[in-house]
Amino acid sequence: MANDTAAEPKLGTYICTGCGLGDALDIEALEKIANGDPKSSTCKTNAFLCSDEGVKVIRDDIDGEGVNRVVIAACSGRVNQDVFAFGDDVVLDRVNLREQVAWCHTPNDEETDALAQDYLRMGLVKNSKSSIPESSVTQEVYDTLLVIGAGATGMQAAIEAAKAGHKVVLVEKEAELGGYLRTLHRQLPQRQPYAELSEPDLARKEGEVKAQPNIEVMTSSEVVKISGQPGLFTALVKRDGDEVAMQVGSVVLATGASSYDAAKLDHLGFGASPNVVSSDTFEAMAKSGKIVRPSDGRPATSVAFVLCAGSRDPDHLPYCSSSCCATSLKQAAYVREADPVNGRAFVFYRDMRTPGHQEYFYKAMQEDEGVFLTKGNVTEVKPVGANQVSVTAEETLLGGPITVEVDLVVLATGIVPSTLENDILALEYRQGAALPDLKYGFPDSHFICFPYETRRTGIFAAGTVRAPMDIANAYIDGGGAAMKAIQAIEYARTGIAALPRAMDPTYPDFGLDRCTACKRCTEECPFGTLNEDEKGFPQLNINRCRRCGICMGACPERVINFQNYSIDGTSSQIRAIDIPSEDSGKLRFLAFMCENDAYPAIDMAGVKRLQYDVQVRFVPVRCLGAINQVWIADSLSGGFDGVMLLGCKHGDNYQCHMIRGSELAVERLGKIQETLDRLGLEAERVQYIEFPISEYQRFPEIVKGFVKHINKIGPNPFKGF
Amino acid sequence: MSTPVAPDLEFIRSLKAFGGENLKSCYQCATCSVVCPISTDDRPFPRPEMIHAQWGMKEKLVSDPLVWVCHNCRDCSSYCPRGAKPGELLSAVRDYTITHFAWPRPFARLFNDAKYLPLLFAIPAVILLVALGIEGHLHIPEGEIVYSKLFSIHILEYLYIPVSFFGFIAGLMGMRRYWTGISAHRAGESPRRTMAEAAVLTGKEILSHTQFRKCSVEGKRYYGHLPMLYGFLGAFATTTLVTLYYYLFDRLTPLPLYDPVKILGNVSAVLLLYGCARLVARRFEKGPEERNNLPSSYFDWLFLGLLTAVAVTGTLTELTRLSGAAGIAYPTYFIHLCLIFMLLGYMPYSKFAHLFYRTAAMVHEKMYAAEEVAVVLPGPPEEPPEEVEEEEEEEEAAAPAAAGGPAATSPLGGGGSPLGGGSKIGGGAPPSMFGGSKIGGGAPPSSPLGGGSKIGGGPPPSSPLGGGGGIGGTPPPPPGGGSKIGGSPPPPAGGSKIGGSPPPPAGGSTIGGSPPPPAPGGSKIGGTPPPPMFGGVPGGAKPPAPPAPPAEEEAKDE
Repeated sequence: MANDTAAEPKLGTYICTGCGLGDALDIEALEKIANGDPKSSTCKTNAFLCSDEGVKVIRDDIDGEGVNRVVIAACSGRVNQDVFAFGDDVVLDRVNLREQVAWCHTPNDEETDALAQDYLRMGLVKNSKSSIPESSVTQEVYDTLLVIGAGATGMQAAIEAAKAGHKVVLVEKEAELGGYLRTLHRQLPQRQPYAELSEPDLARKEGEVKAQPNIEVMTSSEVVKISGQPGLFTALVKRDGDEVAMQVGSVVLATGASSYDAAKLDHLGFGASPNVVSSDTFEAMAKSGKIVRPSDGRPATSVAFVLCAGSRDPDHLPYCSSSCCATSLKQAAYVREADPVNGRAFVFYRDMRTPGHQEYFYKAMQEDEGVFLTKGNVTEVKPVGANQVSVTAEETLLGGPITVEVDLVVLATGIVPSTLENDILALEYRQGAALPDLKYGFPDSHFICFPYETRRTGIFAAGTVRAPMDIANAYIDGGGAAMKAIQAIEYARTGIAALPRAMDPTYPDFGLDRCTACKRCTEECPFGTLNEDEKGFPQLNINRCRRCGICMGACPERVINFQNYSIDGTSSQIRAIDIPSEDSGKLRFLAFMCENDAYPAIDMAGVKRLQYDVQVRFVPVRCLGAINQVWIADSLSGGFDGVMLLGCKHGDNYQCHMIRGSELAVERLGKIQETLDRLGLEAERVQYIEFPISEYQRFPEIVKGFVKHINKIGPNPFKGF
Repeated sequence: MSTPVAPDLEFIRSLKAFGGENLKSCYQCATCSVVCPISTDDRPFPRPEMIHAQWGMKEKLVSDPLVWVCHNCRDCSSYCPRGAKPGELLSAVRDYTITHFAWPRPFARLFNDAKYLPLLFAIPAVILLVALGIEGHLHIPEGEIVYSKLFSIHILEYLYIPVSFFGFIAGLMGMRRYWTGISAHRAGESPRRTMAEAAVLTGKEILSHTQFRKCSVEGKRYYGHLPMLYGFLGAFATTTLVTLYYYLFDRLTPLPLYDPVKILGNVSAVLLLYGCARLVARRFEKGPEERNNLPSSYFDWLFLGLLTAVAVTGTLTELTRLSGAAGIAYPTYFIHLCLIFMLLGYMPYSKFAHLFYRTAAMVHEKMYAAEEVAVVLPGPPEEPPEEVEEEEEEEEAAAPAAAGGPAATSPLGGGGSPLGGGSKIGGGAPPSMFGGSKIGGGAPPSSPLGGGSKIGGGPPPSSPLGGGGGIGGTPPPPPGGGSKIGGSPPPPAGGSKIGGSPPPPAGGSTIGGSPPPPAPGGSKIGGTPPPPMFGGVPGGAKPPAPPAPPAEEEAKDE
């Protein structure tokens, strides 16, 4: 689909001599390269290329001379992006002579010049191998959002999206709106000074939803199928036995969480006495106005709250449910409210976790003379007589084990995401009907960098289904996810990538005529982009694609390519690097580096003027998962002495922007190393190195270590073949 | 063994009413215990008291021996990051204690509410008026002002001796209840000193106000309380001497101004007025922050106000007499007498009762305390360091106890002090042959006091208390070096201080017969049974710290 019919390529190369480049490098030699092959129709140097005058030089060539390909040899491509912006019709490449050459290597040195020249050659080759993508937009996208679940999060998401002018279909499984909000007696404080409980928000939110003409509420309804892609989803919703099909642009999953089953907490006395209940039961008691002992129906004036009941417990829920501490404090307030004279609430906590404004509420509750707080491990909960229960805790603030006898024990059970019970979305995706989870069953993706993003583009998780949180945060989540969902529709409308490569207009082009239906791409895509036809060939859903290139890295037939990032393009860049002869004593190393973390880290090393081995040549890749094995084979057969793969942390607490990129790279590396062994080439010549952005200062050390290692092995025996 | 806890909500409310309203704010960070001069590593204070108050544990607090050892220097309140005001809470506990142990108890209620004040004043006023009526003196006497024209000395004696006696006996009743309470608190511990010894030390401390001087935040109060104390004692002595003058020399008041007794009385009055004025002024003083201000409840004011009023009316009585204004002088005298009646008769119910409770607590503390209280202090900046040094020596002479030893396990903190381990006072004893502890060690066996330590030097090993340890005693191995507390005696002569463990080959435990620690050095609290509440961590079984370099004070006592 590349734009081959466009005008004749006309390349302009612009070399900046500012920022010390002119003093450090042999500019004439660079100009000579620009006029070599591929030949630039024009090559200019400028002492201040990012100035208005400098940019005008380029702009004039584009407008007047018909230059449609531009290579700028100057600073890092991560800076001045707004200055060197020449529109979608120009193939632009930036050659980083500043951060990665002049600033981190000896000036006016033969090897430094060799490095600069290699980079310029690589840039020229890459540019010549790139093309302008045709728009991937094939049809008008749908503007409507589908919000699943009408609790605090879902209602908020619907309200915010509707206010932003989008139609919303709000699907609720129950007969009424509200979800968890509907079960509440009171809600945690919502305004200064955060000391007084507030009335539940249910009526207010319900009113807002009903007042919005943009929101179509479907209660007693369930989603039975979702197919398609962002901007072009088709959802099937079942209501009263009828299935309604609807076209939606994006989906917000706000189905919340359920409480952990208290019946599993017999070690905390559940079941041993009717007077041991869960938080939910207690909330219902308070809502009904009767805080009583279930055993005899008499008022419960003393109540013990056992926090972390089943939470942060490897045998039950290993995580913190985040809101139970504040909920228990709230319920302690019910006890005091019911009997201000004699009401006693004992709260046994592991760590009082009251994030945000909840801390003020905690302080307020501490002040209450009838609320007794202590850290402690509850070791025993047992009935005393027919109506009392004793709670024993160890390691309390009182210095030793203590026992209190109370009317009622409330176990603050944690929460379990609703997606654990069923997949809810029923996705018609090659990789399965459910959202992949990140941890503990929560369908999140990169929670710090990209909140609400799941691993299914255009489908956003929000509220307690995404992570444990309180109502205040659920509102924020609802609003945030709604904005993301709108953004996803807009990206699909203009045919550009979603995060993290937002705004990228390129996309993978599948040369299906040579595809062998090996299914590696369909299986390895972290975002479930590809479906398969009945013969097993990949079917691209372009709007689901995040343009990471992991499919390209996976393809053994090398038939997947982007317009400006291709197997041939990168192989050509590698071949453009000059390999000194073995006699020269100079080595050459190739470093594939992740554009998202390693590239900025190495730029930072340059900014800090850290000096490192000049024999390394960097090849930026969209993701380590987008490294096709042929490139490694090419580099070793081309005479490189070693290859580094610089990528992010993977595994449980991964930092990979593409979720599985560096993990896949390591996996594939294992295979290539076996091959190397068979060829009699040392497997250690190719190494994966975890290089988080925060450790840029270590970079010179990392390179030194690698070079030392290769020096020990000796130069590549294939050099010169 | 787990402790049953049943919070007393009424108690919490009372403490709040007595001035501890912020007690619930405490979050147990232990800053108070770090800054408190009487807190020690193994006996943090007042952090446990705070949580006892929060949890309404009345029985624990009213019989807490340390609550009355606290002199309300309010360092804790100044440093408390949460504004929980532990100092005020302790003050409230003391007020509550007075009411709690008062005899007869119902009577004590009249002193907690300002609405009863007219009644309290009316009682002596009516009694005195009745007395005047009986004597037929219900008018301003003629001629030169002589107060015995109004009340004869006999009337005053018949009235005031029983009143004082009642106040004193009732006070002692409360004191006895309190003593029982704190003794129960320390059940299982053996005293280190006899009551008489402890009483002598306490008396010295009261008269010298050493504890008061250690207060940093409330340092100035020392300059008010001391003159007040001596003024009061002087006034009391004057009254006694005047009575003796009458019976021995048949001399009646007014005495001439040059009379020694008159001079004593006037000087006392000046001291009392000065002391009261300072203390009253302190209560109005505003600090840079709200928490620097001294909160004052009615209960606080009742005693201080009464005492001040007594001083003022007493002085006025004399001045009006000298000026010859009979119309003012006699009524003033009448009021003065009413106030004296209140001061003495109501002694056990007002803050005056601190006389009993604090004395009892101090004596008890000196009998039992395992460690010298507060030697190293971040004293007030204006206090020159030399003074602190002097004080230390004085303190050592007065109340030997000791230093050092291994960092004991802090019962609350579960090992070491809550904020950084290490012993607050001194280090371990020196390993030298002459080593002994800071206080005890180093005296030759020929010392008249025996085994090397200054007080309670050890009897020979045949001591009835067994295996080498008398009270504070070590078998005197030449050339001495008994450890007082925690100081490691030189091998092989370790001795346990109290209790009958056979002398370990090296190192002695201080209290109780714990098996000797493996290394030389003494364990601080040895095998004391853990106190009922804070005994989560087994006693001082930690291996002792390596011996510290020889203490400088070694030779001081010789």
